[in-house]
Amino acid sequence: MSYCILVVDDSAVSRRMVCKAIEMSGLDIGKILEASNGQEALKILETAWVDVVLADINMPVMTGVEMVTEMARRDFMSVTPVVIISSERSDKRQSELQAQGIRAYLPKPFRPEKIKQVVGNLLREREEHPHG
Amino acid sequence: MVELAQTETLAPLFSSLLSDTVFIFSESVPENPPQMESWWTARLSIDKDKIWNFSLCVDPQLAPIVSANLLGVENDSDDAQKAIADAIGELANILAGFLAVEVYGTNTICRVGIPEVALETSDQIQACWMAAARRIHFVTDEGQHVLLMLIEGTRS
Repeated sequence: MSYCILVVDDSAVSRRMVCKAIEMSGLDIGKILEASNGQEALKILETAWVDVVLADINMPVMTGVEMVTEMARRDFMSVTPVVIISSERSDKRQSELQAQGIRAYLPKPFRPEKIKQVVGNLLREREEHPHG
Repeated sequence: MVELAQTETLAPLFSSLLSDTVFIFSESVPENPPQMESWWTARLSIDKDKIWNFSLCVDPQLAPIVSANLLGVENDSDDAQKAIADAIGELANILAGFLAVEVYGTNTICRVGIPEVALETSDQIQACWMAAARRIHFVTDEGQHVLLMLIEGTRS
């Protein structure tokens, strides 16, 4: 079974780095979708099945924090795990987002092995509990 | 019996060691900015009790190397050239994240602005050059490179 990952970041370079880390991971990823802000990501989540969302915080139009708040309001968080990958290194921010249901918080710059580990764990959970 | 260290253990150790000793590879910095046609600059704000304006200036030869390294492509590739502005902005964003924690610690949330990236002349970056908190001058196979970082605080 191959999985679908959604990468949300306003920086194309950053999206490419995350996509590359995923491609290098050897995980069974069938599709990587990309969005450049939270609003675009929500539109994708309304229409496509996504197994894991990897999102930045600091984005124009809709930030990662606003996206997570909206996903929690629409009850998406229980179905689609969210991992935040951000240059923000505040523990307080991390705790706030964890309280809203994000599954992991990776500070930039990240190590590809860390993405493999976090996404791999979430996909294994997916396999064991396919309906979230 | 000596136990072999895991790659996962050694990798962060080497990274930390290299970052602590990187000054060994740096060169002395000239008084004035080298005359170049244009510099890549990224400027963004860190907003908390006051507004901190952070500037990053990168010389035009170094900029594609930064871009290529972030993307994992060749320095002279089209991809590296096209992504320069984005890459310099992303580097500024990452550095600003570290600076915010240095200034306010990890128990505070700061609003970090979106980086504005532009090409500026040597004259335009003169003020940044004079006031820069950190001027890094180093040499690679591609030549000599300069990177400036400036942070200035104003009341919000």
